[in-house]
Amino acid sequence: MGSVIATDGSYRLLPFRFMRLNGDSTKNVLITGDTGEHLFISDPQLRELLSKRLRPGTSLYKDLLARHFIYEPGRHDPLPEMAAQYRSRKDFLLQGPALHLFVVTLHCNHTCQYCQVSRAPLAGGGHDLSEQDAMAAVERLFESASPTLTVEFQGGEPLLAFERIRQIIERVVEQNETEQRDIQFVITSTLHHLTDEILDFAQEHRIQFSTSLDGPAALHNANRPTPTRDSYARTLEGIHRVRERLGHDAVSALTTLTAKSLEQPRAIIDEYVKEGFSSISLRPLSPYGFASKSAQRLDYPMERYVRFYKEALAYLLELNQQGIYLSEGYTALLLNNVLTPFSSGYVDLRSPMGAGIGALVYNYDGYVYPSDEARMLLEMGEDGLRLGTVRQPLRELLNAPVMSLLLEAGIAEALPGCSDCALVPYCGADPVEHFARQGDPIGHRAFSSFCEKNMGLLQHLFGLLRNGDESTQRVLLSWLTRRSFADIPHVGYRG
Amino acid sequence: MAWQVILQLDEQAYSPGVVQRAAYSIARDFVTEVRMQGQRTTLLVTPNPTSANAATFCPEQVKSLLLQQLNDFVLRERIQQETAGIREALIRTALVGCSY
Repeated sequence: MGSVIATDGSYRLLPFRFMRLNGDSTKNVLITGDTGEHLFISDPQLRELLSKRLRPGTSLYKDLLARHFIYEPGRHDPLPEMAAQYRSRKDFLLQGPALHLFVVTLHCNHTCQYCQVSRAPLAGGGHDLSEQDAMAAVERLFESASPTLTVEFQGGEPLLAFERIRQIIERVVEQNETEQRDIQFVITSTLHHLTDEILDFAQEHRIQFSTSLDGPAALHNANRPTPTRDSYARTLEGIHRVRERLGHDAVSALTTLTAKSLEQPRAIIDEYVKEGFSSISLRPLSPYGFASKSAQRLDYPMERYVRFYKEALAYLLELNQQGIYLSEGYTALLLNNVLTPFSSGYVDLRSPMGAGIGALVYNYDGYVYPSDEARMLLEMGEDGLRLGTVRQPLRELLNAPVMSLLLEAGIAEALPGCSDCALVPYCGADPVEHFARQGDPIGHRAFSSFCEKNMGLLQHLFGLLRNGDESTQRVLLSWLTRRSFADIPHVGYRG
Repeated sequence: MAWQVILQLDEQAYSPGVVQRAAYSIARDFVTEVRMQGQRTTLLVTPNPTSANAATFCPEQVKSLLLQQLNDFVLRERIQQETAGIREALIRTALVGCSY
């Protein structure tokens, strides 16, 4: 940092961004650094900071110095420490794709109108991943340098192609005897097609299940129609069977929110409490696959989702303060990005983007995509986001022209609007989403649902971190550390 | 068109980059036409017809909002100028050896 160190004794600024927050607090300016540090200051303090009128020795001065918003030329060089922090936050760049999704079949027994993935009716052929393509994809995943790998099976309904799942897992396990990676298997399923044979195999390979539970029976069944109209009962039965055989935490659930869901946040949360889940993921509809065709009836403006989120979060905070542990998944990821020196690892909240760099999708037809969303765009007639086929080496796939195109729009810190945003250290770039919604991988932030969602949620969380009472802050901390509310020390406790 | 706000700015106080960023930041609700002549910059601001929110603003509020944005972007430009090169040095140092 020799080139930027001056010697006149006064402090100098380090790069930071600022944003004005709503509310009554006098500390209404949020300042953030590239290393993820943040501080709330007042508007007069911001002006004093910029005009070099801050007095050394004050607590604000020390805070700014410690969090690398300013430095003292000739007295210390903050660059090595900042670089180490920055590298920690971007460590996903050092490893290669860690999430590998296998679309083993498109067949599904459901006919969900908002379906976020493509599907095919139960009858008929031509929608299953071939054995040859599956084995080629296993070779691709081991070409990634990542020491930890997640192998996730999706559909359609992947359990309808359980024999292919078995082949893939057995091959991965066999190859891993020499590779020695840390591998986690996940099956994303309705759990309607569970058998004892599947559960035996899952137990042997410590497979995790991820299912969808949209709320109480009426809502779940309305969202997820089946010919027998018993989707809710069958999913619950599956959850209970998995827990009985593999343990309580072997199954997690996600919620897909339709316009109807937004009217009943408490009922949805109560359902998760009743079923003993420790986490709920309140995710809005995505503009992909069949979802966009049904958008007029099922979709909603993002501001409605943000209102729902705030109401749901308030209820969750209330329940947690009563001793019921139930965290909101996306909130926990955002808190991780705000309050820890590490990235959450969640591909949608990465910059550079997670698509391709962090995740790869092996589609049933042998083509490879940089994200699940990219392959869902196929249903909108868009196949331009293909990286290539499972027969091509990983290096070739990651150097495909489409990756260059996405990367040009995939670094949030360099995007219009984001480059000045104080929330960018905690947010991500999602060129595929912007391509889907705006027809342009860069998109315009003023009209971006991705931006509206993350801005709305992050600003709300920063508001809670700044103004929330002690109980609220303890709940948020309990989600971050995955400890019970009672285990989180009170403010002032330093034991 | 319900109203139009006209702002006359001195380019020495508000650079073209600052003006463009401020216009971008309010684009969801307001359309801004930027005219530059010599040292003077003129902004013509009208409601964005696709915005449901724009109708809730009166011209004085829009002027106040735009000035706030302009002044904030001036501050950001100042930070940028003073810290030029540091961010690049940080990224270069942190991510050395990062490629696939």
